[in-house]
Amino acid sequence: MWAFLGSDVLFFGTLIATHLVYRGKSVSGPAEGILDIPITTISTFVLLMSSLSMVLALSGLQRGKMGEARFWLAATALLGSVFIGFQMFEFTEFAKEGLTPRTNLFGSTFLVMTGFHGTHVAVGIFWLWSLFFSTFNGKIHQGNALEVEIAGLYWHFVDIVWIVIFGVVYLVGAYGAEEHVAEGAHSAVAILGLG
Amino acid sequence: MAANTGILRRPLAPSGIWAWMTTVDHKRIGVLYGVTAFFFFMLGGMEALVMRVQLASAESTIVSATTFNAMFTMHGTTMVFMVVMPAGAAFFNFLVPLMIGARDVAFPRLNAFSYWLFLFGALLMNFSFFMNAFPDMGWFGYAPLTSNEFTISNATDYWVLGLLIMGIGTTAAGFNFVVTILNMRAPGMTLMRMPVFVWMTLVVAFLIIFAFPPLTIALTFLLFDRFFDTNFFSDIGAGSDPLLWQHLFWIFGHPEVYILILPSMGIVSDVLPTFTRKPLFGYTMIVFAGAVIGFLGFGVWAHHMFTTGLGPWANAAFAATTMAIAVPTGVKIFNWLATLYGGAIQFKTPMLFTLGFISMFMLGGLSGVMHAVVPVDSQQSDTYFIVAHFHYVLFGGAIFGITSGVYYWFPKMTGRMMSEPIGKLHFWLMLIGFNLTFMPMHILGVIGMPRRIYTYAEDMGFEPLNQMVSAGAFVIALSIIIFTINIVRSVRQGEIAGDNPWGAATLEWSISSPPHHYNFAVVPTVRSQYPLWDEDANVVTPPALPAHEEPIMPDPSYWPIVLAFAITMVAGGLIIWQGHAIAGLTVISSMGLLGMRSIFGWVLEPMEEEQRVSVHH
Amino acid sequence: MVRFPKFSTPLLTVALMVLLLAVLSACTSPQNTFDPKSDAADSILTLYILVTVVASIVGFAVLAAMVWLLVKYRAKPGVPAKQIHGNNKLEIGWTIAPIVVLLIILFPTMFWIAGTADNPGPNTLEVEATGHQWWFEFTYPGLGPEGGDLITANELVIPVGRDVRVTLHSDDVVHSFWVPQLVGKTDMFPGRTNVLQTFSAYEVGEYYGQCAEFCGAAHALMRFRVHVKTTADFENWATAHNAGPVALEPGTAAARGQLGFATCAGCHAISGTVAQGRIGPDLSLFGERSTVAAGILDNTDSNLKAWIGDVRTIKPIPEGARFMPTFKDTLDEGQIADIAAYLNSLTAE
Repeated sequence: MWAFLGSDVLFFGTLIATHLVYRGKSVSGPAEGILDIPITTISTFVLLMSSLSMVLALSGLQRGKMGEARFWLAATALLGSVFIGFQMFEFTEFAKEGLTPRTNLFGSTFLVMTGFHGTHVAVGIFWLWSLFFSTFNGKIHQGNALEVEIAGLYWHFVDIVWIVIFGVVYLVGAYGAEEHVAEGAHSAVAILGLG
Repeated sequence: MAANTGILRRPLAPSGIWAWMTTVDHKRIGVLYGVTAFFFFMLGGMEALVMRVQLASAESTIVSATTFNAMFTMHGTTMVFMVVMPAGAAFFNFLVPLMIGARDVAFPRLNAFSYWLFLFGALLMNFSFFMNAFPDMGWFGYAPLTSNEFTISNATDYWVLGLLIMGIGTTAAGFNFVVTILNMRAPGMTLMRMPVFVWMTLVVAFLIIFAFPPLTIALTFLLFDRFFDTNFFSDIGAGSDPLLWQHLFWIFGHPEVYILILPSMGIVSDVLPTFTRKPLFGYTMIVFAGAVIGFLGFGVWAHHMFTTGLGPWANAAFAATTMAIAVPTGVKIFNWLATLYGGAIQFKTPMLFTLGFISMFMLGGLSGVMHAVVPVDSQQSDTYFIVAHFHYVLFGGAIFGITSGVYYWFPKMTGRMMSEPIGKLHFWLMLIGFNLTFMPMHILGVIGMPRRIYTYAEDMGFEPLNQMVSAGAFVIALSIIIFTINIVRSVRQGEIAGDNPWGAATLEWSISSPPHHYNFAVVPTVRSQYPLWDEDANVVTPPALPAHEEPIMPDPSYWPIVLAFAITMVAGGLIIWQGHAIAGLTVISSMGLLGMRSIFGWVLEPMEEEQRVSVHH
Repeated sequence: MVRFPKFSTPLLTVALMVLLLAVLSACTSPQNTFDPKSDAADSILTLYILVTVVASIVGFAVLAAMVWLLVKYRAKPGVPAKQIHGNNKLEIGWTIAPIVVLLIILFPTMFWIAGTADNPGPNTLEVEATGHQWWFEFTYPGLGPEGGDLITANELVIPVGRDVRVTLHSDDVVHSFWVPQLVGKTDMFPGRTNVLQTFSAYEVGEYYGQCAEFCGAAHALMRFRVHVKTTADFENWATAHNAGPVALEPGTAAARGQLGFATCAGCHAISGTVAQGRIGPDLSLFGERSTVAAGILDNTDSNLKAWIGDVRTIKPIPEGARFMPTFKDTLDEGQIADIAAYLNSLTAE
């Protein structure tokens, strides 16, 4: 899993970098202004809490407390689903306001990046439900808690990626596009000729 | 009781087509990779010969521009992704567990999955030939030429999807080998006692898992541009930057060339001691240099973009890092040569190819250093000088190295020796043909012949040298025919090899040729880099274990091939969807469901069945 | 046990001599980077020779060392191999030595990069080159009629001994501008502007160039020429270019062709006439050009007629690509001949 996550770091890194390289370059159409920071803050908090519930699920399983494990596994999956719900709401609102992957550079890069993240979350949710049901037929138990630990690693990774996206894309994007933070990024980008 | 997680019974038979299609044995998977790579080597070679026939005379009309452009696109794509990489995988697969004293890799089914994805992705891409959509936009697929606006046919789609599928397989193999090498070494085999080949495999595995994501993303962006009208590269008016494609491609592309060459560097590092009868000179430095090359390899990518107008700071920085990477490379070459010093050199065929590798790769490295000088590159870039450079390192380097490996480990894989006289003929013909083909290309580059041109004017003065090049290409072809004869003949009637025909030192030579499916009857304890040369090494290969004492090995499974098939068909469905929406969606959804079902079947299936006696060979 | 084949050394030497002779005899070309005709190309060649010499010395030395080691240490009965594991001093030595050699080529590289920073002077001639599939467009800001742009195609005309600064752009895919005897190449991108290294040609003459970035089916046939003229000739050329055609004698093929050119005016322009189409190449002063069809055919009457009649028999234009239509079905041979005569009548006299 660590090897896979190392690779996934580069996967998301490239997606985020592309979005940053194209920041401010959209010729027409909505850009960072369309982001709703308050709503996204809530969904980010929800995802963060899901990491906590994941830890609690693993801890319960490692101590042999099947009830706890099941509860927190389900909680994680549900919190993840709430997050996805918020994302879907956000995307449909954007579409109504005229932002789709076809609209402009912001649309393409932002939606593909968050889309891949959402897909990762969805896969994780699927995985969590599978683990949940497996606690009932004896396939997941205290002895093979490693299976849940590995799922936990994946889940925390997906969470961390979101924190990076939220910070760099949402917060800096909406509030800091004119600040020197973005300018610093722009000069780095200009050095690479992507100016 | 066999736990069936699918409709069909779990396959348990040891032989026949079904056994090969469901194998999870690393040795068989290695053979599959090797045979497939060899087949594509012939195909890529023929693509090259078509080009050479066309270019042998000025203003030739033997093939059309589109055909020629497809030839150079597919020759490059085939050789890189369907020959050199899988040949490396063939060696990793067959040898790494044997060399570290393990019975298989960490994830045997994932291993099979990687192979099937490679095969199906390669077939998907080549299938385009029959649909009159053979990719012709260059193996590097520069935007915006690859966008819908400038490439109307499906050719680019086949290329993108084929590469994506092969890429998933490769990345999975990367994970597999990192985990295998780090976790499954025999007791006593510290990292610094591993054969250099294993070390190089480890570095390559890390390179793969870090270099393939940018390519995956770039291909995904291109795919979305072509299928869903997004704006990553294709809409200049909306601000798309074609240079972004180049950056992403080369951030992958440069580590990729180290992925291509490091396995061969590992091979020669293990062949040299055997045929000089002394340890490798500077093992630590060779390993360390290999790791440094891998690491620095991520910092030089823009030297492929010196003519794109990046600006003086970027050009200067990348010129410096590119020159820097010559240092560890040189260190390796010097250490290999020092291994010859004081040796008792035997000029067997594997050794000849290894010597060919060292000398030809060195020449290619020198022309590479020339490209690092930015102004010189402004005259060399996109000319035959570059073609000369990378063929010296990829053919003179990787192919010679791989060939050395084939001659060296063929006895271990098949139990028979290859013919020495035929092997020597192969070597000399290939060496002469290779130099005749690629040395004149340096001159052609100097006198101004650009790359990727299907013809040139009569008054340019390019013809005589091109004729020499084309003649050389046919000499190479002849040498490959001789190689094939050697392989076929030796499989059937080669001299029986025994366990250690070369008197080599590493663990794979301590077991039978070919090895039993469980590799080691008893997992060895290792005390040095050259276990079989240890003074107290008492290497007697144990006889085959009776069936009931055989270690329990992972059972075959059909989920890897089924899932690989499903993924490939989803990709095919995407292409169909472009022309026929309903048919395409049907294929995508049905194959998608098959894929999901396969994942469940795979995950829920145990590694090996309980309560049964092994019926393997 | 195999004997190291002793016959190979003389054979190899003979083979190398033959190769060298063949190579030297083929060493000339109108795009020869080792035959510079400008200050820029010359400065590049200096570094080119430096790295070639360094690389050749290193290559030869290493090969010689290898051959010596192979001969000296081939297996001999009763002589065991020396069990050496390594030598730290050597490792340090052969790490430092390459670094030193690389510094020898790194410093000149850095100085060259710094020295060729874009810095146009007051007398620099500015030209804008735009790549199209599959031809080159050249625009001289300020040199055109009434101080506007002078636009021409496929044959760049410049004065000798004067700094020329070419900015590069593309209308469609990535191309590259390369005229080896004058300057190293730089790519032409859609959506961004690059600048070629400023150069000043030494001698009057005609130089060959070619697109050097794969740009589609007809990439191999996208070439151009650079005409370096004396300052006076250059000025005459620009004046004649802007002035447009002299009055043609009625009844001649050229006069008929001028009328027939109305078919072409939708895409082509000729300065000083009503033809002002900007989709295809500008054809002013066409009679001065040495080539037809972007540098691939000599400008003869028959080549020009063949091109006008059916470009698709000369260049591999893909279906659906935006390019000059085929005219052999809409114009008869006489009409095509007249247009060709008209075009070649457009000279500087």
